[in-house]
Amino acid sequence: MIVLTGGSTVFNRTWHACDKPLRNHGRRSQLQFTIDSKVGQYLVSHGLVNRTFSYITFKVHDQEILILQSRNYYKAPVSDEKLISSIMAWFSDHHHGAIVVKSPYSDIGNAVERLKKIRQVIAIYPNLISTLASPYGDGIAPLTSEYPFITQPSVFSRLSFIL
Amino acid sequence: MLNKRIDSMYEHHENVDSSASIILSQLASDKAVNWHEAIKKYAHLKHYVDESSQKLWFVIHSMAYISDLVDVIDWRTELYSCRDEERKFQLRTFLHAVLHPKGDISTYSPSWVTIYQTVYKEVEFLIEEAHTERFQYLDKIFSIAESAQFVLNDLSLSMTIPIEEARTNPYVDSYTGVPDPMDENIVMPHITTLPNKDGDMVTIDWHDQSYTTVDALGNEVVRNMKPDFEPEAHGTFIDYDHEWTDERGMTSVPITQMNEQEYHITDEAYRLLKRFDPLIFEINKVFDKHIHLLTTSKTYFITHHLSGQTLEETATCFTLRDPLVIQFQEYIKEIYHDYEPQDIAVLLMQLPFELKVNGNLSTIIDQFGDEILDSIVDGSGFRNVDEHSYEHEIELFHQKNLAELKKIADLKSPIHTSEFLVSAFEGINNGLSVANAMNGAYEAFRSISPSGSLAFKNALISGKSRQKAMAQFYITAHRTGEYTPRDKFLSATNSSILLLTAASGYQRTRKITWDTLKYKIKQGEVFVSSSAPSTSKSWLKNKLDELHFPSKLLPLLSEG
Repeated sequence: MIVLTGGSTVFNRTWHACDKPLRNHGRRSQLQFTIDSKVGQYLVSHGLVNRTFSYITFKVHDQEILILQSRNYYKAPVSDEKLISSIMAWFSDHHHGAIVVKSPYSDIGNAVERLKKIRQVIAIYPNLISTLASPYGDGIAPLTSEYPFITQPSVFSRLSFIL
Repeated sequence: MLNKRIDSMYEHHENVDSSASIILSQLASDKAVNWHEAIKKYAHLKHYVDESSQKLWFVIHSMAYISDLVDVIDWRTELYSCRDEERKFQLRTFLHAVLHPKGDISTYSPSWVTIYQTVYKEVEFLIEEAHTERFQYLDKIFSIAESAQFVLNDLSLSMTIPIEEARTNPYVDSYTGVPDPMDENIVMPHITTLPNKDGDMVTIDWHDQSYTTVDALGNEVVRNMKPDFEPEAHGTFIDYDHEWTDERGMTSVPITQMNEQEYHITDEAYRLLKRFDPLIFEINKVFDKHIHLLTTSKTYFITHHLSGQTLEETATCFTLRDPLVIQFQEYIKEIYHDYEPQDIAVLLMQLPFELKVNGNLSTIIDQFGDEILDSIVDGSGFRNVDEHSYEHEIELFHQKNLAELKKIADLKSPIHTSEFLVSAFEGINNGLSVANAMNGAYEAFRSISPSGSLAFKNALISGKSRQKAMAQFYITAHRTGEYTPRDKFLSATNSSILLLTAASGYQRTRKITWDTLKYKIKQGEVFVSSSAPSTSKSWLKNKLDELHFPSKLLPLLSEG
């Protein structure tokens, strides 16, 4: 599965906010052009331009594509919250399956820390409801730095980032 | 011993415990008497003719009745709150058995007032009887009157209307006590006069089934009322001269109400419009592209002409095949039930063609489309104001503009003079054509030199063209020293000089020789811009020195 991240901006019926487009010898690949037009068409026809779509899955030539939302507008900075919620939406809909997400951040030094935090947040989320919700009240999530033991190896193995 | 004997004597006598006094002592000693069982048990009392038996029999019946009423109050209270259907039916059966109403048990649900009205006479009779001398002692034992009064009070407390009202028959005049039949049935008069649809009075005789009306010629005619198609609907009045209904058989009032009350967009429509704004933009683009191709591309042109459709129809066919439109159509079908139909209709009406989602939406758009669009409220920041409302502001702006123009007016060029500018702007402001306004402006400009304008008029009278007459004006004005236009120095070479002419407002150039320049300088018809570079100025001075131009005349070149 090809996993791409990006915003929901569309220009001329074409998706115009991919974070790290697929490249072939340094140029935007043909597959990327196809993906751009398909995603653009989807966003326009569903009235989701500059809005929230969380994730989109579709197939191009029997190749599964997953688009995760990381921001809204063209050239908007990547929002950790949007990326987390998009990944969570995918995990909650697909109980079995792993994804490898290419880091949407351009700043490599900062990216590692942010990705680590994203992984931790996603890993503790399923535990919150079952084990930690009652002592801290509904919807109050403890900080990962405070509770480093609250991690789920299963989710860790299913989600990985590459730079 | 004696007693024992007597007892054994009466041992076989069946009626030994049946005399009234014995029964009375039994009943009085029993603290919770079941009066219904007592009726069955002591039924033989009714056959006894002695007064004490009769009195006791009456008391047993009265107490059974009162205990029934106590139960009625409980049952009625329970029936109000009961949710179990079986229990409800049971309660209704109990109530029915005590109150003996007419009608069906299954729906029987008496109000407190009805219960009161049914029982109060009997209970009051009991109270009266109990207070008489006849029941003096029995009342003390069983407290009949007290129990009956208790039941009556309980009932009247449960009622929602005053006792007096409940006790009064609604069909009896409460003041005189005479029954009033008019209250019971509303009697229609045989002859009524009512206005018809057009406001003319029509007299209807219900007795003869006829009506008096005015026909098309204005004559008064008597017609028979025709029964409606249903034979049971007697006396349905159909006046064919003045029909109440529209041709299709429906009155217009409900249609108007339907139009007014239904299909006004909700807030959601504005959100939808905002959300699908990019989509509508894209679809419009696609539609325009196809219209453009149909008028330019040959293949499109042939396809279009073979189809025998209008341009828009063909373009619509092409646009409907666009994957964007297909996806949108499918998505609208998905979300159709999440929104009000009129909100979706508003969205579809933004498209340049008809997009069919389902039959219901098409009908709504056909019938109520205009009204739905009317119900869209424009944003508070935008107003469609008549252009005349800006007249005052524009006039003020214009006056201010003219004042500013006068300040920067330049005498050197004719069309930059304040007379010319003001007159030209006023002419256009007064609705003149540009040519006429310019003529008026030149007329105003010529007032700068009276002798020049006289020469202009003489030239026109003598049959010269307007252009030559204008030349005559310049010559005369210059000769009398009243006005001289001054050209602007633009550039120079060794052979020729380029000037910006004053007549064109320094927009057009004119090429002259150095000799002509020398003459023009002497006449004061040329100037050098004060902002010109000093190197250029010194070059010009050197050049003129070479040509033996007297240096004392050089100040004539200054802008002034």
